[in-house]
Amino acid sequence: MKLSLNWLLELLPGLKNFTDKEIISAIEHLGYELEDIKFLGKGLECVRIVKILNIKKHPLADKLQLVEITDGKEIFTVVCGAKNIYVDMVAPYADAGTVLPNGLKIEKRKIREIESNGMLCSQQELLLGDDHSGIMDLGTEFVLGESLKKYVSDTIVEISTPANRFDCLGHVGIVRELAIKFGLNYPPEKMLIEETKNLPFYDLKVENSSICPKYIATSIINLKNDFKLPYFIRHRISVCGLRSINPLVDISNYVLLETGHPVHIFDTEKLEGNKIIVRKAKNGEKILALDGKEYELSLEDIVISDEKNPVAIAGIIGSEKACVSNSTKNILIESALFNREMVRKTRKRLGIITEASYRFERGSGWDMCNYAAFRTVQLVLLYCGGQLNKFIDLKDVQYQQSLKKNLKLNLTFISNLLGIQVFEDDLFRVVKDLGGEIVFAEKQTGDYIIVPPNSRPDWIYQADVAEEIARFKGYEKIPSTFPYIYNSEPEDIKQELFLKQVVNYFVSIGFFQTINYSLCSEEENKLVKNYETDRIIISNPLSKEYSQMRLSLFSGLLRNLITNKNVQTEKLLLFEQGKIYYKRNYKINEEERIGFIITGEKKFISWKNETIKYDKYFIKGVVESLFKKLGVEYKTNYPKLEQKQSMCNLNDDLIERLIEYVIEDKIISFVCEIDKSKIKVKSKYPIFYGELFIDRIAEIIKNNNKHFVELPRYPFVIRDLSLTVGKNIKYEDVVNIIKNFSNNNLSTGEIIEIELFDYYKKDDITNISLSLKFQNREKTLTDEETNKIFFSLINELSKHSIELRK
Amino acid sequence: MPELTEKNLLKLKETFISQLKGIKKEEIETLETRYFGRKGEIRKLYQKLSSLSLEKKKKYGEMINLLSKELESLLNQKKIEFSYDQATKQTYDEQLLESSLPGTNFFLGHIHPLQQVLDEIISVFRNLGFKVELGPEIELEDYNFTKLNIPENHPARDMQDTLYLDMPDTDKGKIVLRTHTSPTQIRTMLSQKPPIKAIMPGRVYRRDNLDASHQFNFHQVEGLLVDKNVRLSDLKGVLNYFVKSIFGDVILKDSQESNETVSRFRQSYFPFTEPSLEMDMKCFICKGTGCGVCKNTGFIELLGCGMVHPEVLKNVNLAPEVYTGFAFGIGVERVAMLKYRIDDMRLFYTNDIRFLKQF
Repeated sequence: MKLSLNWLLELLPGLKNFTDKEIISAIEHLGYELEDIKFLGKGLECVRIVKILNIKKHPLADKLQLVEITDGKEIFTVVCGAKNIYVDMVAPYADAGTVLPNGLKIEKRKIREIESNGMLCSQQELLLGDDHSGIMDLGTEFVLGESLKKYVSDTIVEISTPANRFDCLGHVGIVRELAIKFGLNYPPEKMLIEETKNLPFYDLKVENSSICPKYIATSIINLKNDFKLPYFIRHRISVCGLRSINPLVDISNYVLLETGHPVHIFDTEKLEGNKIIVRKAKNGEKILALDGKEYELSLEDIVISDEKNPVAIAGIIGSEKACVSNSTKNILIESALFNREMVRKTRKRLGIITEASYRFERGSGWDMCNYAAFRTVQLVLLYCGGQLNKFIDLKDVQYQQSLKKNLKLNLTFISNLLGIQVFEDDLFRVVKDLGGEIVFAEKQTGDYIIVPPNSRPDWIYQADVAEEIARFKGYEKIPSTFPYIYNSEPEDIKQELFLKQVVNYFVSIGFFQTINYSLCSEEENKLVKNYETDRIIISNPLSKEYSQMRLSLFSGLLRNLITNKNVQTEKLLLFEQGKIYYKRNYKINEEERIGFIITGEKKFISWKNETIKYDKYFIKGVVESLFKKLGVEYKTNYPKLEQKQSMCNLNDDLIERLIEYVIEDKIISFVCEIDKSKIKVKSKYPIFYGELFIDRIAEIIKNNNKHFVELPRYPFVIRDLSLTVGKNIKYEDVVNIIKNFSNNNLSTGEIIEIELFDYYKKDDITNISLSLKFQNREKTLTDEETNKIFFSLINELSKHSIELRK
Repeated sequence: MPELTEKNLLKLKETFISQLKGIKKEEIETLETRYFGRKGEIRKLYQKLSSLSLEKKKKYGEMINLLSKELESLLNQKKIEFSYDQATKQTYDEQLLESSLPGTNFFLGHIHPLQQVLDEIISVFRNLGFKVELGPEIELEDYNFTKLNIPENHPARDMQDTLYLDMPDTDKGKIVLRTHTSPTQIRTMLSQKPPIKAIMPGRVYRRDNLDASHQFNFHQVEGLLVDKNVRLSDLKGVLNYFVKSIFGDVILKDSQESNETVSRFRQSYFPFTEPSLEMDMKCFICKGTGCGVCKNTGFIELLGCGMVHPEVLKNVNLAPEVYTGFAFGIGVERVAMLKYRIDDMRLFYTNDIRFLKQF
């Protein structure tokens, strides 16, 4: 909402003792976020008031005119293209040499052979409003030759009002608050109106007071609407963001901006029959609204109807048919309260937002409804003339009573809530000055009963009043204290520490942590198995690109790989720790994962040409080293992809060389190479991807209680062993045979470490070379004893077609 | 032999230095004898002392001592220089280059800046006794809105544009992507008894188009303290502590001000708090005097907070006359942007390693 400081000042003259800065700062601190501040009139010193004396067609251009103007002293000619000018029109004029507030410099120049000394200006060019359709039509109250600045200087503050504060959607509401803040007196708005005629009036009916607890209708006859209102009114309307249309529309907008309460004016000559009914719409009923669109209504909408058809959607928009025009003579003014929730539902369903609906869906005040009606009548009679007919106020008295709810307060409670001593005066000031009542006061105990102002139905709890007190006192008055915080229950941070440990592990081996959106596209989810049943779809996505919850971390990491590749970074180690989301058996799951992606040739360790190659052993190492560090014992699967044996979540045809790490038949991790042709990434390097099922691993770690094992006191002995391995034997088979052997021979000496140091394959022969560490916990192993174990091991291995290399 | 004057002593020194400068290795012994020998220049000076008065003897004696020591040390330095032969010099030069070659690069990775800031925020509140509570990101409308005093047909719902999931409605309303971590506050208050002191970090979602300051997916840390006698002033204290912890070294640098002035609080509106406040922190660029970054206000908008709304307390079966509490919501991206002076939120989610490397 846009506020004019001049307007505020007019309503509350006491504000003149405060600077603009103080007023604006007070508005901000009272809870109205500042969106924008504009200083009108800046740079308008040289824009003068002129009158048009004569208009001729430009001899050389059809769309231009030669305009003779006067500033009261001299007469001169300008070239003008605007269509809205007329003889005797008073308009703003800028001489050559003037720089307009929008940066435009006026220069003396020839327009189609004819010299133009300056320019007649539009509202938009002077930054006085949005209208750029024609030259500003100022009106007769201007003195020719004077600077326009004098008439238009103002400061416009655009604020956003909290959703619960309908009482401050007009200038009056803000003034009331400023008065309290600055200790000024602002009398409540009251007006009396005398009905002058008692002509036959409409048969007025509100079908159900729950849809419209209050309906004021009044009519004025024999008025005029074919002129322009004084400039100051039109100026205020336009600087506050609305357009000047005709006097009646302008008056209703002026009242809306001043009071915050929307009123509606019907042209009674266009109403059919003798009835005005406020009712629920019929299903399928149609209305052609003021915005030129036809809307189909339903039982959930409220309409104002004449004897035949709806003439307005209540609180939202009027009909085209019954709207006022220049020729309007007789009118019906409506000021009402409508069911807030119904207005909101209707405007949402129909997709209309108007100044009226914006206010009605937030609510409206009982007293302000009266005041807005009075004010409209007053202004119409003042400017448009006419005679006032009946003034009818249909109200639901029960509803009115229900607004007067007692609220019990205790000042000690409020003081404790705020952390500052609150006094009776603080309470009285906000309650009384905002229009509420004190019905009971017991200073000793601090107990009070108040009736909240009818503009503040949001006062329900003591806390609501506490906020008002703190708001007007100023939050800077509240000290900074420290709460008494204690913990009786310990916090379980095992999972968090575990995650941290894994994240740090990845960073320590050179991976960069990435964070991606957890939304992705259908195409990206298609890379995952069972995507059709598992995916979770957003019903109102902003774009296809982010229309589903991610089923895997792969798609995000792949995006990152492409982003970096596009900026010439092809050597990448990336990981992300985050959730994946899927539904299975009607249950929604959010599962913690770590995904990691590797591409590029190799990692240089130093300039001495020491490198680590990025290959399948690298990515295996990432998982296996971590599991070793964590003490996780696992089994390895090498699923046949073409037989669909895999448990990993990526599609089988997307991957190659899959290795799965499992515990008790449950997958806890996998690594694989990505088939680049399937993801349309052109790169000379292979792409490897792996994932850790963090939730499952955390569960295992939780139960892994570590126990100290006594340190060995005797030296170990190393023996190397070169073996020829038969077909279908995996490396871990060899390791397991050795481990089992060791476990069965603990008394003679165990094998505490097995390390591969060579691998050789040619034709049918596969050789591996191992380095073994032997140790006996009870004594020093002799050469002879070691040899004995060693040969016994060779013997054992040979039973499994693993022979000593020949 | 010239007279014993200060001027002459100085002259002798200068002559010695100039002779030493161009000297060759084999000449150094001759020079040493000429000055320090039995018939050397120094010796001669001492001999002259005998004819002077006691007072002058003392004065010049000391001066000659000093001069002698000085010349001797210059001579020794030269001797040391000569003692390095060409071969040793060469070895040293080579070693210098070799030593200066870069050490082994371990190519460590980097923790994402958002994660770093998140960890920092969590540790600040942990130190104050707050526990971390986690909750689902896919939430029920009831927890995300209704229980937080945001009824279905209230304009307050428009404050947070919501992403809905394509799933059947439940008895607790539609299924939504949480628009804040507040539903976790509801879950916490429903499952625990006061005193409750917890922070709720996590991802949240809004139906906002991507630009430099808006994201449909971002991170929050909300905080909650519910107990008897929790005051608004306590909220100020805790949040000032937070601002001082994260930004204090910047804001309070070269300043004598207390933590009272690191921030200011303004009236605001959130349906789930009453009173509701906006916390601005002192601008770290201009330290409060006004500049472009803070739009000349001296303050930068930081977070929203307030006292837990009585309606919310009732919704989780706590009596608002007995219990009070405060809550706040911190945008992790916002804090990270302010801390590292990042001007575009999208950078966090692009994961360009040239960006990640900087943190």
